Amino acid sequence: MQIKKWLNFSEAKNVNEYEREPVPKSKVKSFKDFVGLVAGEHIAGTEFIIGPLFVVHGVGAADLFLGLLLGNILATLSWALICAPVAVKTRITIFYQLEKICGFRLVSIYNFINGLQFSAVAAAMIMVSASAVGILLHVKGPGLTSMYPDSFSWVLIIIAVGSVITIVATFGFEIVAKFSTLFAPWMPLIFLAAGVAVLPQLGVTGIDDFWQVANDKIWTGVPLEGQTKYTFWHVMIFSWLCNNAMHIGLSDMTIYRYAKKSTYGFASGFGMFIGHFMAWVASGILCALALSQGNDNPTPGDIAYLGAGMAGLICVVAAGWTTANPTIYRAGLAIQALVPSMKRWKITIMIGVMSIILACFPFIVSKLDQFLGFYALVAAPVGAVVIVDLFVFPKLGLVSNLAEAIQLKFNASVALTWIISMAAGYGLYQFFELDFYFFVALPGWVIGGVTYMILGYIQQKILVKKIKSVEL
Amino acid sequence: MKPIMKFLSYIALAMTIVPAFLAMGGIIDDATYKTWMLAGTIGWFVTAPLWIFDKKEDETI
Repeated sequence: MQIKKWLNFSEAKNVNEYEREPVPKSKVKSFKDFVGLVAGEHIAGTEFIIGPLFVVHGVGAADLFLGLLLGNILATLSWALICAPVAVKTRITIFYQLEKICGFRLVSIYNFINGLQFSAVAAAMIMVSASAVGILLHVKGPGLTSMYPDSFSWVLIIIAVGSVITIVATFGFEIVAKFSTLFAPWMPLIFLAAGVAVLPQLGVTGIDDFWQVANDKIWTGVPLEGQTKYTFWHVMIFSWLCNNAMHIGLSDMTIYRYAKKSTYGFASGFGMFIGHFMAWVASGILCALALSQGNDNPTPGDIAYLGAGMAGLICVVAAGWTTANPTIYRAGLAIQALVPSMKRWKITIMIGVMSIILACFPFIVSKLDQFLGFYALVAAPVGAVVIVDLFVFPKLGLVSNLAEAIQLKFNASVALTWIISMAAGYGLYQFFELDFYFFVALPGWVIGGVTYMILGYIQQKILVKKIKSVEL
Repeated sequence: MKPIMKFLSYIALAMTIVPAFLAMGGIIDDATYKTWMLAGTIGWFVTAPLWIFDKKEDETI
């Protein structure tokens, strides 16, 4: 009976998501609800990739722990002091808010870029799940540092896993969301258990010698051959800004608009310290063990099987699947904004096929940190524009939500702000010869805010007659 | 029935994590720990669906 109720599609589809209206106060959620939501959301397939990447890139133990501590505190503060206050003030989604500010045509471009980003993340997750299936079928997949597929059998597994994920995303997002609820309490425990249980194999006999082993055998400070060296700054900036599109980029307005108070943004700390601290440390320990056993290019499946056996493989499949599915679904929704007449399921299948093709190329995984960094550069200025428009413009005597006010389809000042911020960020990246796009995400955010203030002011002075008619 | 299932679910979750610490302490071996972990995993997925979705039914986020 319970299962039957759980599989009820029509019930889920009738839920009002308040996509184009503020969430009513009667529908706000408790702090406890937010803790449950974010704790589950931030432990996913990517954790099997990112933790090992820090090991592969030679992060030192002290750099790792200090970087993760500070970065995750800053990420939590970004949600609590930037994203949640905007969300609680407006109680609408970032997409609708952006449409009000920059117009339908410009928001469509933003959606298109989001669609591409979601496809690439889904591709990485398909590959994570496939790495576990490959172990069951005795097909060795490409490792964390591989760039291209190394066997036809592997490509077939990718196609099979990706097809299942795509079909489910097309027809059953609600069921997948409920599977995520089921996996959420179990998955962090698998990470923790696997990380703890293998410590003796690295030479840890008690808490006393953990730090010594961590320095000597896990986070040694020496990158693998051919890999760049990551430092405290890489770890701190990555853990702070890997979700920058969500917090300073404000896409989590979609979630926090349901918060009773903006202080609920602190709930994100549970997600950060379970998913982006404990899970990264645990998967890093597992990667170090795989390396010490002679596997110099382990897959996520390899490291999970090493630490947790069959339960680990189930965890890898689930972690990749539960992340890929909603991601493909979201990508479909984002792209649908460009072609509203096309059925969502057709778009979702197209996105799924694109993700499967991308998943055949392991550089999507081996360069995941760099790819997410580039997206950070693209997404950060968008959040700055919304904050300036809502909080600074009224103080300057300027009109907020200009596109809505004067029926603009394409707000040129926002478009120009976006281009200038990304160009400036990329320029800084090149000028300082940085190896990590995340380093310029925050400057891009600040430049975006300042540029929009200036361009918005100029624009509203030029459009003064139209705006006056709105004010009257 | 539901409280019993909930109790069994938490027992199953404990079976995924407690053996890890026993393995770290050298009390059980690697193979035993992984077997307990798989048993806990199966226990969780058999019992949790019978109660975990109830309070989530009316959530919109």
